[in-house]
Amino acid sequence: MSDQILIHGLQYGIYILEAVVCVLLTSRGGWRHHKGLCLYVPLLFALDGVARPAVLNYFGRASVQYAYFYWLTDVVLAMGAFLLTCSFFRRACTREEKLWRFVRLLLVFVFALVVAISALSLTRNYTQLFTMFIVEFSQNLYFSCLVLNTLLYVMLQQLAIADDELGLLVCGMGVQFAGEAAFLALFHLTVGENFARVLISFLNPACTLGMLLIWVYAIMKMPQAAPVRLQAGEGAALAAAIAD
Amino acid sequence: MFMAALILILSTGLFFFYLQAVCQKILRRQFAQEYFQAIVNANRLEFPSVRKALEDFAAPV
Repeated sequence: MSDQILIHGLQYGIYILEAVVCVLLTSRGGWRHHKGLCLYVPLLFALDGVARPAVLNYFGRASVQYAYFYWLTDVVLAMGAFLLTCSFFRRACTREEKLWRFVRLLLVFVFALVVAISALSLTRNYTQLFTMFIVEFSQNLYFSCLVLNTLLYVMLQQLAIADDELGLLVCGMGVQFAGEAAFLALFHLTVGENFARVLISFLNPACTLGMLLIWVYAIMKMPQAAPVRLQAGEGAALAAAIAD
Repeated sequence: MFMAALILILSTGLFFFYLQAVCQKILRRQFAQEYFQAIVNANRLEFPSVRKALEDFAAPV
């Protein structure tokens, strides 16, 4: 009974924080600076906070319809997370166009690799073409997001990019992806034993809650790095002023 | 089995690494006002004067 109360508490906390992030992004006019977040967080709220509970109430937890809907929305969310990681890479490479061209190629290559590896898993089992591919694809995509996110964090440190907000947003994503990957691996190792199921039902929403809390803090408290774009001639005038 | 164990170890390590990074970033934040000064004055703490003396001395500690 108390387990259910805790799980529901975590779930409602996630819904509230998703709504808070949406409100913060719109009220502060941050949609230009946070394009990726402005797409991902409303998508997360619409699918996880509205659509899934609606389907669950209509069809029931044990229904096939809910299972299909859950895994389909999971793929959409995994792709949204991948695109969000891409948008963070773009933001980190704002002043490094040459690097961005290389990163863009790398991201396309990683996505193609994930699709190919997931398709390979189909060869093991042809009877469950649809579900097998979807589950494998979303898990692989989440793990590749974790690897890419870590690469992005290392890149931020190496290039010494003075964008504390982006750093915190990346760390928030890392907490979510790393937690989820660890629990899925634990689930595989314990072959779905009861304690692993209970642990996942608590810790997975706790990681999402942690990510949203970090994002709320980053958007509300952290100063943004404002890109400075000089007009023609202003650069020389600024250099002369500094020299004086 | 081996891959799952490897992913579990790596992901757990990364999870704690990101948690540490978040805490560091939040604690490193500089405020416009020094909020600790009021607590230092109220409790007559000595560490700001010791720190200042060390900085002025400019010697390796």
